[in-house]
Amino acid sequence: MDLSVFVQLLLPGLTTGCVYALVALGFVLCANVSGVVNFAQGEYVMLGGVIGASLLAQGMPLAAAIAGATAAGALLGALQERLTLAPVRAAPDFIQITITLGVAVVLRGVALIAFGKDPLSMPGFSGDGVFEVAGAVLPVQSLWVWGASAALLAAVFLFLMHSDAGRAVRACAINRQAARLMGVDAERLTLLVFALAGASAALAGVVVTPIVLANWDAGIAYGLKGFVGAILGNFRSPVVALAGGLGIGVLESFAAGYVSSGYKDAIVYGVLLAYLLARGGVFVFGRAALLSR
Amino acid sequence: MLQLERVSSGYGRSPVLHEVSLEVGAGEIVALVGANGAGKSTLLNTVMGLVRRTQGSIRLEGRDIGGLATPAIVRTGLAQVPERRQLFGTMSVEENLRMGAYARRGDVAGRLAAQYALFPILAERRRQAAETLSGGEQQMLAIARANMAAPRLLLLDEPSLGLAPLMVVRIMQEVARLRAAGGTVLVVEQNARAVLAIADRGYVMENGRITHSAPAAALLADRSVQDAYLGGAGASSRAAEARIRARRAAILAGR
Ligand SMILES: Nc1ncnc2c1ncn2[C@@H]1O[C@H](COP(=O)(O)OP(=O)(O)OP(=O)(O)O)[C@@H](O)[C@H]1O
Ligand SMILES: [Mg+2]
Repeated sequence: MDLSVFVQLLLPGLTTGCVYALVALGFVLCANVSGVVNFAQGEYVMLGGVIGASLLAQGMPLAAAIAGATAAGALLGALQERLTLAPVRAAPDFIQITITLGVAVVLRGVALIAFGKDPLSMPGFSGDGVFEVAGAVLPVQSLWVWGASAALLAAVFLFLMHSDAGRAVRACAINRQAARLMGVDAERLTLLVFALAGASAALAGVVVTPIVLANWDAGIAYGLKGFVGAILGNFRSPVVALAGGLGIGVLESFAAGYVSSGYKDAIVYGVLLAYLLARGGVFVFGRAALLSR
Repeated sequence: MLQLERVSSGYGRSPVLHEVSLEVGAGEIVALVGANGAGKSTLLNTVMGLVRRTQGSIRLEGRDIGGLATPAIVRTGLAQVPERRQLFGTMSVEENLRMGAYARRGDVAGRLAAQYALFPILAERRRQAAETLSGGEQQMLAIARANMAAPRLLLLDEPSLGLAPLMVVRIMQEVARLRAAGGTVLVVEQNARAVLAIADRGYVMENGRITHSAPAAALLADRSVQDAYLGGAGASSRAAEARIRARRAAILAGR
């Protein structure tokens, strides 16, 4: 096997994998505090991209455009929770989950109307140069994606392990009733987590835009692949979800490079299907993850 | 301290509690005994605001807390040790304790130190996952976790569940110790004999209603209570009551 080809597939795979990993993490966190799989999760990546790119195009400084896109992700995540989930908290889970699918469609439609159907681009944060590793050539922007993802993951990890609110999120995931008994306000925590998930997905969306462009219909692919990562982690383990997201990015890139780009999605979903069949099916999974709370 | 007046509550359309009145005075240990499904846990959960009160008043030191949400109720000074402990199994002992202080922060370090002093075994196991503790240790952790909220009144739901007889005595001694340290406790138990041995007063609940209410020793000696909850052992007599008092003194003295 040619090493430079291998590296040329592996590293870009890790770059998109970073985005999937952050989406997967958002899925896991939202599902654990609210009981709802938020299928609009991937749309926040798209929104981060299109909002960041158009703020920049309107003459905002880069840092302000990034901050604006991230803040918009947080705000929209919080609004989604308040407007579409909080009012139906008592409804069965599948209804709430269906609502998140509806929200995804609406966000996509609004993005199409507001930002147009053509992909938006952004220059690399530190120029459009490239660098070379082991014979492979990568855009310098990849370093921004890896750095931002690592920083976000570290922040999420610190939050979960070392803050009172983060500990409460984990407690809710383990035993909601007991967490309520400790005085945890699950409503407030859910709002917080939706805002955080929206912000981190949007930030991921801005930093990858110089590499992959931002398009109104890109969210669904991010969402599905992040969802696959979350499933690999059984909707419980943030760490496995992260690794799953990264792995899917790499798998997809290898599938495109070594097989054919036309088959990459088929291969990713084929692997998911095989995994689910081996573990007893998506329904057993969904129940185990969501009803055991 | 806690006063329930004609409280009714239930789940959805099925009522469980029917006009329950009950009182716990400051510094008391009050026992609530009754068969499976009588509504004991429902009563504790209604007090904590987890189950909605449909009627009646729940007062803590005169203030009606019946309409408050659980976090606010915890902040007024109530904490519950739930049935089957409900620990956060994969979190460490110390993290469980910190969760106990979630709604009432401030001097968490001091309270942690106090709980470790009270239950030295927990200090030894502080980094261990809660689910790896023995049943007795888990019950101690559940009690310590509730104590972390610095409650004025502690609600205990079946602390003896699943424990060996010696450990049951140990846990009851801990409850007595809490009271000796100035605490007030309402404890629900299936093991009526064990709990009435340390309680001051007791209530008997049947089908969501309070049917008996008396000093603990009198309940232990009561014929109908014995038949229903103590396996019909012993005769109702002064001799039985004297035996009970002697046993109670032994447990409270830590023997
Ligand atoms: N979450 C719930 N939803 C609906 N009904 C419930 C719920 N929890 C309890 N019940 C019903 O309420 C009644 C009283 O239950 P509760 O748990 O309060 O009894 P208990 O006295 O604590 O019994 P045990 O000694 O077995 O713990 C039972 O008929 C039970 O089926
Ligand atoms: Mg019960």
